[in-house]
Amino acid sequence: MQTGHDVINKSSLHIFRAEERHRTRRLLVISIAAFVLLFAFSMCLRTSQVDLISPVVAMQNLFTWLKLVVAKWLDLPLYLESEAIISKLPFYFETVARFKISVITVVSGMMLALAGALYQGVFRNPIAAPTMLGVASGIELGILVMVLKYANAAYSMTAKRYRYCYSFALVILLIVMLTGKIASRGKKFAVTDMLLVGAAISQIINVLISYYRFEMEDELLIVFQEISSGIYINIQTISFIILGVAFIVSVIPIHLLRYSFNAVCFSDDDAFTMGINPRIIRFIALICGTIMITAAMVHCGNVGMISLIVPHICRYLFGSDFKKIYYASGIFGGMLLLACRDISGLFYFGYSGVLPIGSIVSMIAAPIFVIVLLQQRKGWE
Amino acid sequence: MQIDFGEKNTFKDEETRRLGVSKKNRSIVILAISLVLVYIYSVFFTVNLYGNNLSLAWYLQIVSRKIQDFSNFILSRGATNGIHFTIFRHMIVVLVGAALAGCGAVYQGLFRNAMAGPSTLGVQAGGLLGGMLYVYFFTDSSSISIKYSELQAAYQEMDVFHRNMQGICILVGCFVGIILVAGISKMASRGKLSTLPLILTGFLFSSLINSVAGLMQYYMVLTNPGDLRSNAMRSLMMGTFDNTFTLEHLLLVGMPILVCLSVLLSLRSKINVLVFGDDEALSMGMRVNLFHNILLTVCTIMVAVTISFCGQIGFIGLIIPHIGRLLVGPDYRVLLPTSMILGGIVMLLVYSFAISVGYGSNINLATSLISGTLFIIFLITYRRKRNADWA
Repeated sequence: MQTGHDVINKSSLHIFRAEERHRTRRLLVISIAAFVLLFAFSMCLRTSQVDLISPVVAMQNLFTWLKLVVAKWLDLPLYLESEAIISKLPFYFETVARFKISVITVVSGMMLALAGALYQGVFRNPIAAPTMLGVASGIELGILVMVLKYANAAYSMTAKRYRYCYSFALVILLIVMLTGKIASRGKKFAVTDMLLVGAAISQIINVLISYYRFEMEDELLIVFQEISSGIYINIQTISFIILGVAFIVSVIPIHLLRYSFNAVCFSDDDAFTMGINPRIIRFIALICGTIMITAAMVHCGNVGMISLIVPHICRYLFGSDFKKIYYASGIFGGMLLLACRDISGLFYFGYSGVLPIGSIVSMIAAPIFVIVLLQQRKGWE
Repeated sequence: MQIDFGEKNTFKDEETRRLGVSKKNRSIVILAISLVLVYIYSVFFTVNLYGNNLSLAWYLQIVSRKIQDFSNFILSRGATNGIHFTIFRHMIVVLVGAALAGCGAVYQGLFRNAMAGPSTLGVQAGGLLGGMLYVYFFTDSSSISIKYSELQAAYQEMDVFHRNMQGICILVGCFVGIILVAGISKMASRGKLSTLPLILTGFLFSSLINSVAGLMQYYMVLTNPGDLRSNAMRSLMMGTFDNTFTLEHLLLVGMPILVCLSVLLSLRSKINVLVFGDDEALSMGMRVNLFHNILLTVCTIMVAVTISFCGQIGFIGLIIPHIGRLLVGPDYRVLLPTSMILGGIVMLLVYSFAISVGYGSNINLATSLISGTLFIIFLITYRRKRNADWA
């Protein structure tokens, strides 16, 4: 039997929910529009290497490129005239290269932010980012070994770089997690201990890396810095294919399991009552998150801080629903990394022409990290 | 209701306490003797084994030559083959180890956190940043070492400000580092310094500075290949005792460190009170803020001195107070001198190990690998115990 009070409450709740849904939808539409605008803007932006490109020219270039790609695939006669067509267009190669780089940047940013949202949700800890668990230094170690072994050829060996970086990152992640488990004495949740051990191990690895940085010859140092700090981005077809495969493999399982994740993010007991095994879910999240972040950092260099801060921005805007945060952080992560890329293109440094993207990311991310640290209400233990 | 004060018991406790202290003093004496032994070992019996044909006869020959050199140096006749440089350098090693370990012990007591130390609090990273900025912006591209050992003539012509420019830069960097890291993590943990924010903020700060160093190196290589400033950066980042070997250097390093160490030692009973907490110390009639600030400033100055002469030497300051606490317990009256002497011993051992495997000029590598592993083990044991105060 319903009392009047209950009825009023229910109806008001209904209205509230409708309002919230409306608000979320509006925010999503706005952010997608901003994303598209930013992408278009970054096509025409003036950088250290290229002057301002008018949007019309950029569009024309991109359409021509698409047409030529299709013509190449289908063996159309148009492809034979491609050189004549290209020679008429101003900034053709620059636009195409920038388009490819922007696509890689956006996808990497998305994967980073998604991995951050995943880790934070599953571990229920605001600073549980994969980079904090030693993955970043593992990737750097992988790149270092690769550069020492293959020298200049390390630039173009995307598949091999993947193999090295994945193996090193996985080994270090495993060491950190096992040590954290030992430190927490078989308790259910060992995140704090894992974070501490991860920080210590990464510091040791950083010393090792800086030693080799000083030992290397100058040419090798340039190769290592350009790959590991994201100055150089490989835009061969193979890197697109690998990135796409990694994206699909890691994002689709999470998309299919999004409701289970909501339960796991809430608490383990609730997940059990709903018939979900949180351990399996957490394991899937770990695997997918590591795939995502390693792929992104192999392509874009040391930009792991994105994964730490973007979920917080999204939680501030969209509330604490995992589903919403997950999709929103995808959009915002891509946007933020692209914006950082654009900013880094504006500067002129040395002879290479760009400031590394990682430094701008950490400049933006450090204050946000401090705010996140300060806002934690309960104690840290 | 009667309260039994138990006069006899008090007397007994007093007796045992005194006995305990004397026992601990004995351990300090034993440590000091072993320091002397280790010093002799590392001066005379440490040889670079890397890339040599190892044989006992060869080893004995080198050792006997060293002893011969030493007797020549003492009697001031004949060739000394630079044995006095080795002696001074190893003295500097002992001083630096003692300084870092003392700093670590004091930091851990003041912040009441077992994981505080010069490397985790961002002091070393901040000093490193200051030093690197000095090297990048204020020196010309031909200066090889961080300290003016090669540039004596140019050093004579400088005014006071420029002579001390590097020291000032490093000192300011150290203070900025500790204020940033300790301040942020203290604010984040609401007054008391918790381990997780401390370690994470320190780690992020130091990795940020590491990447800044990488970038500087990269642009130096791009714009000016063969730039000798990268050697200066190397000796800052990797930590080396190669630039400090004369008596002058020994005095330059030793005077400030000895003054600071004696200040710390004279205040060690105050640290004992400060460990209990601010309220306890206030109720005992102590000026908490004053002593807190004095101790922090002295420690930070000491770390800045070690960085400006020997570069970054990680994890030593963090580990040695723990070993000292295992040996003599948490009483700072005994713990502080113990950890200073232990610091000297461990630093000598690590340095002679690094020399014998051929990494003598990259001391930070050796200390980080050895004591970083120890640090992780201590971290695990402390987390497993989860004591309320030392979490």
